[in-house]
Amino acid sequence: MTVGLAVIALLCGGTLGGGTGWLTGKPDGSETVPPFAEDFPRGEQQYMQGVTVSLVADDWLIKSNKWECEDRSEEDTDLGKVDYKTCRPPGDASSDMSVTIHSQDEDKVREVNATCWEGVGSKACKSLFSTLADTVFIPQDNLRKQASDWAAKNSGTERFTTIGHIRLEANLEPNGMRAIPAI
Amino acid sequence: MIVVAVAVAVLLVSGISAYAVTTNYRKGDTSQSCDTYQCIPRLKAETVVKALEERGHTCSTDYNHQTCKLRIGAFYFEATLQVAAGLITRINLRVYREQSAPLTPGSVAYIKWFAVLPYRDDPVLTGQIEEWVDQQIEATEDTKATIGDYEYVLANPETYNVTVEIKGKY
Repeated sequence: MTVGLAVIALLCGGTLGGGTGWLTGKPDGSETVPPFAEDFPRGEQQYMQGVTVSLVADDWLIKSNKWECEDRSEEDTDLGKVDYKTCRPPGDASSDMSVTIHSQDEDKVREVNATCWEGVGSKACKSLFSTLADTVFIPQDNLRKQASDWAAKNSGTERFTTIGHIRLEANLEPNGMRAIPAI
Repeated sequence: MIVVAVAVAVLLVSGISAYAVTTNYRKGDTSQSCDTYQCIPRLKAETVVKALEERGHTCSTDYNHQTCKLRIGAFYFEATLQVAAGLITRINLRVYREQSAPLTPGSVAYIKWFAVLPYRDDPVLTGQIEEWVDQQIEATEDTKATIGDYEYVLANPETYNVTVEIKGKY
């Protein structure tokens, strides 16, 4: 009798306790996310560090070379408003080359893109591309020479490279040089 | 009288021990039910989104999905979390790049961070998953793996568009 009752009690208790435990038991686990690795992409990497619209447009193109610039803006679905400043040499040379700066603020430059129609491998195109590289590398002073040399040497190719925080891309169709942030 | 006392004592002892055993067993679960799905335990989708936003990613909500994006130069990063009961049941990653250049350390760090989320408290498994990601990227192969309660699918590591899917088995 006692044993019989004890067995029943054991089964009932086990089922009830076990069942409750199974249903209410929750897995362990932290409620926080793991830390980001140093390389994990950061918002500020969207822009070329230290490069400003005026550094490229005013200091290089307008003041030193008398270029003329035009502004337009476009609404990007992901990025919001993006400003494009396109600069060209004065007078008859205006259709020979252009530089476009993509930005979202004076100090938020996403891209600097030069195009040259003077002929692939021409001295004028080479000089434009290496000066572009030289300019966007002003904030990374120790890499300026390396960057402008690379741009001159690879003008008229479709090569690309990463130097410091910037990726340089040479293009052929049309003949161009593009500076964007590296990741 | 004694019979009843014994029965009650046995009932209590067995009930409590069974409860302790099963709750303890469930603590080790690596997924948790959420609506009709299996989710990453205890980690709210909102917490992940907030961390990404603090890192500068732009996030938006669409029905039961949270999507966070970031475009850097020639790269575009996108993570979509499928949310059930506030928890995460599926993660879809996309690393798009304009040229089929090798994946940069930033891209690999991005994929790894999400890949270890289900096992974030387990340093051994975290290490193994990170190693698995490295191997698949290096082997430039599409792969599918079941790691614990989750299915991992990594596709196109060699092309301009790498995708990774991590979802609870159900």
